[in-house]
Amino acid sequence: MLKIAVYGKGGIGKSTVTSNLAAAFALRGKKVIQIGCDPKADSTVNLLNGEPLTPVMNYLQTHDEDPEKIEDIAKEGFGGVLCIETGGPTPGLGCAGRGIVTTFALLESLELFEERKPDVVLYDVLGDVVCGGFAAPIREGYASKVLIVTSGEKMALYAAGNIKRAVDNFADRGYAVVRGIVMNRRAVENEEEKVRAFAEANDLPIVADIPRSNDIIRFEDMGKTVIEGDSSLPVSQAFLELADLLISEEGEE
Amino acid sequence: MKGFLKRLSPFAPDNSGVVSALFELGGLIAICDAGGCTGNVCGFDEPRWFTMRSAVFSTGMRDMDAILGRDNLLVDKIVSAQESVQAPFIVLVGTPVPAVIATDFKALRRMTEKRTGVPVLTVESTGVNGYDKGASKALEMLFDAFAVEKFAVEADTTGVLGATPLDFSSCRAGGYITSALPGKVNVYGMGAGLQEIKKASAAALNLVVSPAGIAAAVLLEKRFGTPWKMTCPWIPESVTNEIPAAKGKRVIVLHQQIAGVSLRELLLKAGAADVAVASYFMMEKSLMQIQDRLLKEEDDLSAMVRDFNADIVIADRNFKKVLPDFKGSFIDFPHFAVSGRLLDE
Repeated sequence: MLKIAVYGKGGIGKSTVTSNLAAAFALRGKKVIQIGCDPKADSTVNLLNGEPLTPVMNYLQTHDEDPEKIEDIAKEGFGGVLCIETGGPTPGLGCAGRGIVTTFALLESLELFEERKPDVVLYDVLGDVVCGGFAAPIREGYASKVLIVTSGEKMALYAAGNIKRAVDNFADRGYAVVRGIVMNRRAVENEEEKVRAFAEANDLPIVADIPRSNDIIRFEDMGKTVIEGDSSLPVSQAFLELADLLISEEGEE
Repeated sequence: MKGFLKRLSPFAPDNSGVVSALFELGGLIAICDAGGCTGNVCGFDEPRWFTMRSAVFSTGMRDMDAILGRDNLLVDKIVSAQESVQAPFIVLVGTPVPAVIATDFKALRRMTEKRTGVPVLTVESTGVNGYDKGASKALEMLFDAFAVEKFAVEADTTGVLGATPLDFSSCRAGGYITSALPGKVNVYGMGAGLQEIKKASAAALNLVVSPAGIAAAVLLEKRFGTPWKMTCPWIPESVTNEIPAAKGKRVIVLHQQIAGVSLRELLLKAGAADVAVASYFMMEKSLMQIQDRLLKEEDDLSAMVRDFNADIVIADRNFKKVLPDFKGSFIDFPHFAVSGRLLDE
């Protein structure tokens, strides 16, 4: 089972990358689960025709007891991707990190992986590794590889560096390792040079180069990933190539 | 308001259940808390604390330790304690603070094992669940870690799973259960220690005496094929003496489920008209009859007593507080996890 966590600065396109990657894996015939780990709960919306599902935290708030079956908190989207959102507390209250941990414990008790037997699990994680809860997706038993999404913008690269350092600090804990950088182009001057310099300085490969594309926005307005919208577009091909790379590595391992 | 107790005192939490299941086994038990949970265990939930030695520590977590996630400091403290205790294994017990700050117990286990060289069990209790869930997790983890070798089955040896003072309300319950059974009896955690646990595969049968023992029994069945059954071979005399009075009556037994089910058999044999079993703790579905209830709120009990039209309620006398209008007979069946009251007192 290929388990990947996607991190990166807020607003850098993590959910876009994750859901397109999920759709790309699905197009390749893989059974995929995507878990959005962000209180905004919008990670999977473009796999679901723009119709959001009930986040786990909302379910628990309403019912005040654990769901009995996975279907209560999950919905199948494009290509059969099983979508789950942790959601979070009322903004300004409670603890979102604890919400992620609670969701993971719940998914474990519902035997999600045993029951669904996915080939790929993608965790789309809010921003930085800000606290224990947001590091949960890279702990033992969860993701084994981390993808860092960044553009050539200074703050995005700064956040990427923080994420890399945080993950490196966990080396003695058996956590995931950073597999590489997904360069999500934002039309920054000398963008490629900047990202390449960062990658080299941090000894990380760039595993995907996502071109800036209005097609992404066009299809997201329709509640779709660009893969679902038109898989022949160059931007779609970039996601498919990344999926192929990760699949081939999994085969080798 | 779910789970809000107005008349009852809070039940023993899962971290107390963890300690209770492991108390006699010689491990270093480190409760990851500021001190309050350990105080509760040592002062209230673990009656053996006053008569028996066990290495139970608080990790003494401070505010900044929690904020900064100082796992290394926690491991340093455990290593330091282990240097003086030299325990054969270490148990890290979760409490509300690690639960809220999402402490990674798997990572702590890895770090602590690396530095101490002894097996480390981590039980992610949260202080929010009942004692039974903590005891269940701890027993499952314990047998998973130590009952690994396959020994020849001894036909007259019975293993007993799920006995703690929290359910049996006596520090001598291990002896009482042993006396009630034929052959060689290992009451794990109450008389039978780590050596017997390592030889658990030699038991011809496992008796599960409370729902906390079910998960471990399932594990031992999967691993060694050991058959198991759920029954409570010992019910306190103070309760069984009252059984004749149940003839022709409708009775509710409120306790841990397996004690309740075993007592039901005795009551029906004595001519009780009908018996319902209820519990505020884990209920195994296969043992439940249509009239049985898993209770959650205080008012659930009074509703059940009314709906079942009970003549007799057998329960810890603490529950009388939630039954002010009940006019039938009340038979006291102490439940230490509910009232902190021992049979022997």
